[in-house]
Amino acid sequence: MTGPHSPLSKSDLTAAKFESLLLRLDTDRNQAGEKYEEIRWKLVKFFQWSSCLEAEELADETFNRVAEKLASEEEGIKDVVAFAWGVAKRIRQEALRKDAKTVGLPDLPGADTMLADSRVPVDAQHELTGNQRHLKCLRRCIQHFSATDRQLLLAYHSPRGRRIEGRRRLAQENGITMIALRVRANRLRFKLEECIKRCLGSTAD
Amino acid sequence: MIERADQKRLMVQYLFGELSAEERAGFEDSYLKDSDVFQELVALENELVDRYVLGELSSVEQEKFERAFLTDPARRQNVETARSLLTYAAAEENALSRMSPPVSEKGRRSGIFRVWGIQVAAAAVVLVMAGGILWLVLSNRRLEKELAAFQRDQATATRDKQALQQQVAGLQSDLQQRDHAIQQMAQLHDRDTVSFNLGPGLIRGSNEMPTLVIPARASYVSLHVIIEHDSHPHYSLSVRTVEGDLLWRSDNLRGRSIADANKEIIATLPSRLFQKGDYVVRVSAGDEDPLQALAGYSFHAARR
Repeated sequence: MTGPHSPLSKSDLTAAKFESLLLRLDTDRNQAGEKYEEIRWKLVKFFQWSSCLEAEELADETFNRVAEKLASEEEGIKDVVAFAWGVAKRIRQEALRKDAKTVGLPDLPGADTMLADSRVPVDAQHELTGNQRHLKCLRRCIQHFSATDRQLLLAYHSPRGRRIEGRRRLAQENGITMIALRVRANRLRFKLEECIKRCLGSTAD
Repeated sequence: MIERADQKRLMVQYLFGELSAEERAGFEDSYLKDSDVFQELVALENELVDRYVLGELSSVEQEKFERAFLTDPARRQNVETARSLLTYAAAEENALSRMSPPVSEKGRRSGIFRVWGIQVAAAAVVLVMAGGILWLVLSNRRLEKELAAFQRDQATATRDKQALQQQVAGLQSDLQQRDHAIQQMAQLHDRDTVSFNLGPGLIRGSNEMPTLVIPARASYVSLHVIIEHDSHPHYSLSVRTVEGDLLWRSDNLRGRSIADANKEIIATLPSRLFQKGDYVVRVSAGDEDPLQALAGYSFHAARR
């Protein structure tokens, strides 16, 4: 699956500042990219677990502010990652204050307008409302994965794969440890979640 | 150091929002800094979500889950993603199962081994066939090379044969020429060679030494030495003065069988070796060192 998400938009962060941020993460461009993805994943989950709305946007905002600080060189930032966590915590406070003033969001967009249609084949394992779009987006997103990643993700979440012996066999078949299998499955599922969110957002428009 | 069970309990409480602010801050620092803790937390969350979707949570857990996850739009969406993912994965597994007949776990294992065995056997057959084809190709090439080498050898042999035939023809021609020369020489030799016989019968009953008279025209002296009852194949013959000075010697002379199992040895010497005086001829033979002395004959030489 290529590019799990769009990098920070140019309007938010210039290419130069983005490169400067990457360079501070690692001098090797590829390693820096991986570290960026890792940090972003942590930030998104951090904001989600903190019950913040728009967790992805808050993660991007974190990177925005860190990059700006690095560019301004107002502060001698030695540990960029630790600095980013500090910025994230500050942003969380701001977000929670803002959310407290916000009316609760409705359910999934378009869910209440979706009507049961007897002509539409019913998926026996899902409630019809909203889930067909979800499933459609999942099918679309999972095709972006490589065949290996797709097989691994599906096998990991299959009834057989959810059992410990199933996962042990899956790890063996892929020549990796159980821990590495878990990390890989976690990462793929996160990418799938992000892709589906974008897909639902675009189809809702 | 937090025990594993305590760690897991802490994680669940964190996910359900049940930690105090201080506990929460401490735990957040731990997973932000430690990727292993982060991965474990993500896996635990996914597991909780999946178990909720599959109805595997207890009623207490379910209530806590719904309060923590379903009130949050992003987390609710993740729950829906999990539902879709589990459905899709189960459907894929069912589809794969339908493609092969349902077997028991034991049958599936033995089936897997059987399939694996068939695959291994098929691979082995393919390998053997490939090996056989390769061997045939290599053998064919080797035979072609050998045939080419044999043909080259044959051509060489033909050329050699022709060369040898030419050589033989040449040698035959030489021999003929030499035979002619030898005949001519023999004719000449007969005219200027004096023969002299030496043997036991010649000396017995005579008080005088045999005398070799050498004509002026004779260039050669042909000594005919008789050896009685001897079977040696080769002989050594020497001519000395009575003082013992060696005048002439020849080894490996062949003896000619004559009557009474005697042998005749012929040695042709230049006549200039002999002046007026007495000489001794000695014959020896054998493989030992010194050779076995067989006979000795004295004679007197005179010139005319």
